Amino acid sequence: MAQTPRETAIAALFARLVAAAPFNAFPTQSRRLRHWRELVDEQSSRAAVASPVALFPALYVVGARNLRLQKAAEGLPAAWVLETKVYLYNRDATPGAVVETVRNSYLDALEAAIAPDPSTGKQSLGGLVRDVRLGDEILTDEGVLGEIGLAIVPVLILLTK
Amino acid sequence: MNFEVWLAELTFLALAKGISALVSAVSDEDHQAKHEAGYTPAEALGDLVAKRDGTDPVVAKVDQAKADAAKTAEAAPVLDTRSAGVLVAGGDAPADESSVYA
Repeated sequence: MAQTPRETAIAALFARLVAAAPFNAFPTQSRRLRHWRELVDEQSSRAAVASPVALFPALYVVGARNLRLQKAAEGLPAAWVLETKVYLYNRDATPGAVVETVRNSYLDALEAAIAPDPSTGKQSLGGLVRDVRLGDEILTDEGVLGEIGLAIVPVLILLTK
Repeated sequence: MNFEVWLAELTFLALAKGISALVSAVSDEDHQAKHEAGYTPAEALGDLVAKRDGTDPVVAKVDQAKADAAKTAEAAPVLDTRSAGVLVAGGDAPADESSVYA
């Protein structure tokens, strides 16, 4: 089984996400993950020296686990799944603001951006990979971060072509 | 689609749903049979889930038969010949068998 190089696959996923609304308007889009606290601190320090910059909302895509499909160990050629994680941060310092509302809209947009092609039932990232799917559980801040909204979304890429 | 790719897709879909154990619990031969029968990976996974959930017609039939049997056994009266003082067929054996066979 031919396999797409990991870097090609994750770069294609990143390109697809940052091209989709509303992520295409995010001031921070990167594959180098930063903690939300760093973004808050940097935004505060820039504002203090009169050079304000918006760093939220933010989207990061990072590679996580490489999963060898179990059946591949039983005599069949290896088939690999690259698990990536998409980190989404949003911030609203307005008193009483419900950051979850915006975060939920981002999750819907993310799901739409990698939805399967209706004609094939698969998301191949332009023919580069076999399929892309959301993982089975999205983690969120569950409201404990106050003005910060956070979601960590597992996205699985089947590298076999 | 050859079997290797078919199986990779099936396992991938199961992984995304967090039910990959369901796929690995089935033998390659059974997967191969599904593949040859023309199931798509998504259909094969749906079939596995249905069997697990007992919605497969055959499994459901067996479950129903078991439930019916259990109900019948529960409803059947229990005949306790000892406490009821009833002699079982054939009666008690005589104390002195020689009197019978003499």
